[in-house]
Amino acid sequence: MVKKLNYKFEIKGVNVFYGSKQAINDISLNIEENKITALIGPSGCGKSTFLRCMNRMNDVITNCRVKGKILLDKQDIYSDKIDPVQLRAKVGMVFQKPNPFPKSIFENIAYGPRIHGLGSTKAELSEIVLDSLERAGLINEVKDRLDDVATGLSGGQQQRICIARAIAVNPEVILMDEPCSALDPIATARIEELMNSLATTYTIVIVTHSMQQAARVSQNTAFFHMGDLVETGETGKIFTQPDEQRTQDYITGRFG
Amino acid sequence: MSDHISSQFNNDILEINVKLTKMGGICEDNLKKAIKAITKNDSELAEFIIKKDQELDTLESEIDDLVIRTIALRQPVADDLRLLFAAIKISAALERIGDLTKNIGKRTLLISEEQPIKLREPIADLGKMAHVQLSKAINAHTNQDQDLAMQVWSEDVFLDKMYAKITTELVDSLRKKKHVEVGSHLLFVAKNLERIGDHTTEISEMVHYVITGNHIDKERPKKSI
Amino acid sequence: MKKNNTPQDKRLLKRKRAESRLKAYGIVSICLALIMLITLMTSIGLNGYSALQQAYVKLDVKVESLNVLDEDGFFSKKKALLFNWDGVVRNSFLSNFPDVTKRSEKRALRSLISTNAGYDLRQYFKRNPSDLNKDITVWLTVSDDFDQYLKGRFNTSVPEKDRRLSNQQIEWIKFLSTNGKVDLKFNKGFFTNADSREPESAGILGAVVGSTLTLIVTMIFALPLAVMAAVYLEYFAKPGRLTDFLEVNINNLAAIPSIVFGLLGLSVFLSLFGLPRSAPLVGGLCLGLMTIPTIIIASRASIRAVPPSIKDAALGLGASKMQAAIHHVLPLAAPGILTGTIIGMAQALGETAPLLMIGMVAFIIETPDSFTSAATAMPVQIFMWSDSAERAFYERSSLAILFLVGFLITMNSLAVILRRKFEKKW
Repeated sequence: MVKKLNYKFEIKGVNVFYGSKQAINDISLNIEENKITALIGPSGCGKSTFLRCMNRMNDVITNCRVKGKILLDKQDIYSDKIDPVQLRAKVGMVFQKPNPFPKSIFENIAYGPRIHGLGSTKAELSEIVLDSLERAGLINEVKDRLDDVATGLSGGQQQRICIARAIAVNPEVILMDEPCSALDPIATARIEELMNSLATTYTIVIVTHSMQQAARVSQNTAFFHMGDLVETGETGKIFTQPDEQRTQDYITGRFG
Repeated sequence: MSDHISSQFNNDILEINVKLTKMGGICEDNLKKAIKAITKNDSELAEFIIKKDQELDTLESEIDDLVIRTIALRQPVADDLRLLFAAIKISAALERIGDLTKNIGKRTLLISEEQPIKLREPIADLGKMAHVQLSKAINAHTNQDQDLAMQVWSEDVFLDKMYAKITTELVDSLRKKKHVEVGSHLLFVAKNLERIGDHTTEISEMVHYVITGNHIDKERPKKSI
Repeated sequence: MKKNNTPQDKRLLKRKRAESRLKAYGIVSICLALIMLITLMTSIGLNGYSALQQAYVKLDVKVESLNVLDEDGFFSKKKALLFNWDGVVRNSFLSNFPDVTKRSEKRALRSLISTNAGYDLRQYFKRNPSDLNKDITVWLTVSDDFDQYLKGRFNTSVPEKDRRLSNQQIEWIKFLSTNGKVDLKFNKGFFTNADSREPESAGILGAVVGSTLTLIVTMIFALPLAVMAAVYLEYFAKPGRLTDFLEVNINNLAAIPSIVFGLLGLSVFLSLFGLPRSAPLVGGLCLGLMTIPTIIIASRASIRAVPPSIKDAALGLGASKMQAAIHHVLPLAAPGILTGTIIGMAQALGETAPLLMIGMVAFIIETPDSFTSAATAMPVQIFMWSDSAERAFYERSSLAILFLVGFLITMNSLAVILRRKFEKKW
């Protein structure tokens, strides 16, 4: 019996242009719900651009045009009915360089809920903040110093603050753009373990230039190359028996 | 060994070890039954172990696939890598032991006449010793016990000595043209048991390798035939 | 023992020499600038320090209360205006010289005291009515020539008919001085009085208040507009010809001579809108227009200096561009904006030309009390005083210059301190 797959994102025929230069060539990809999907590929292959389409962060970039259908829960996120600001609360993002606001830890995490009306009193916000910190696995390390400035923490802790911050607005999807590339191996391992526990509640899509990380962390992997989607499938299969020669060449390090 | 930060990794290794343990259990049990079958001429038991060997083959394939997948996905190094490498070798050794045990069962079915007690007892003793060695080797692996592994490795020489003695007796009996059919089959059985002993030492060598990272360099003392 | 003849060594030596030369040029330039600054300040200071003192003459007076108070015992303005204060002063002063009888000599003597002495005496009794009906001693200002003579700034080598003080007057002055009837005290009036025709009564308070009111208008007008314009240009403007055009124009505005803003004020604010002439409101608007480009440029630079990752983080959480700008970027850009504002204000404080055009050069004797009352500003006051013939105004304008420069230095130092304090390391 084949289990019916639930797709959180159904992406069909997406093309992205920066001015006249095409960065994404007619890519279709489905993202499974409550799974971790990794996007891998060499530098400049378009994976970050593709990721940013999923929460319309490309809207902020001048000269960037996105064409195609991107369905989140069967709704086209580029339709006029969808407000990109609200979308970004549903689809959160964690960036490459940890970027907590230069405010207190509490303020960092309370900001999102506050502007989305998820809590207004100190008590309500406190509850959300503590819950997010717990889910991010950071609660024991910072519960006594919530008023300390977030930028005083180590890189790995800062990135977990960013994850907690993204969780605090109750997203359904978390997009991560090379979240560990600025971190040391132990911090990286912790965050990968965190992603594992988060996947039961959220759908996670991670862009990584480390194939090994994709192999460790994801259930599904998509390989991008020069704006094309070369292959996508279950991670174990991609890394032991890929279908495409290009995929095999890339993961064995036969070309950069 | 303490846990990895990645719980997935821990689970993968656990799964492989569970399968290995299961394989070892089936192997041990089958060998015990095979010795009983050959010494008591029990064909029902012989049929059982021949069928049971199929499970060992399946488990070996499963372990191979698991190990490959774990290496691809987890990029293990150091003791993790040695552990996975050892898992392949040990499962292969156990599968070979299973095959040899199956052959003993097959031989049991081929022997038609009652075996003289004089010939059966030494085989039973050889079998028991082989079984004890196998047991110890599997325990050494389960508990990561280096000393026990070394013990198995060095005591194989006694198995070889006993095998030599039995062989001499059997050949002697053949020369006298007494119980030729049974004697010939029992020769093969004895050889199988001696080979089982050799594979057992392979298992203990791997246990030593996982723990220390070194191969056992002392030449295993062999009693040449 | 190291050889230094190899080509690498020679190159290294040449490079080191070039570096030391460059350092030397830098130090020399700074020293030159410092020397010029010190020379300028010293010469102004030498001229101005004496303005901190004012010569007063000691007079014994007695004034009856009925001349000043009404039936209920309160100070009656009507009575005070009618009373001959000058007479009291004159009589008291002349009593020092019982031998002087001729009318012309009496007049010469009388002119040694400030013409405002009577007014000052009236103000004294207004503040201290308890001193009425008593024999008291007051110190009143002398005339500016007297004051300058005492300070040694009077040129006596000039022939008598060309001088403002005759030889006899000088004798009288000497007499008073040796008898302890005259003294140099701290010139409090400089800081508490508004402008006056007589240097001895002239002070900068009016100009200071005028400048302050003007600057307040400038700040309220310029700062919000400039910051919002900067935010718009950085975040909301679509790149294209129109935005480029705007940018070029803003940068040009910063380079326009300030007098043009004065002409603008004259034609638009005064003629077209009919706003009161010479008011801080108008002056503030003109200076505000002048300062807006400076603040826009500084604000844009600070906004750009905020790492884009902060804005991205806010947007990624679902904040709108406006929320991201106001909650996160502006607070981080605030130190830079503040610095730019303070520098802009300091510039505006020292501007004279536009204010001249809108009429703040009028002679205002009262401290302004609202944004629409006539006022003057400090640089304008200095300009007017330095135009005067009286020697005493020369020293006062020098002191006023020192005061203004001191104020500007304080404002700029504040800008530097604030910037250092809030600078964050990214």
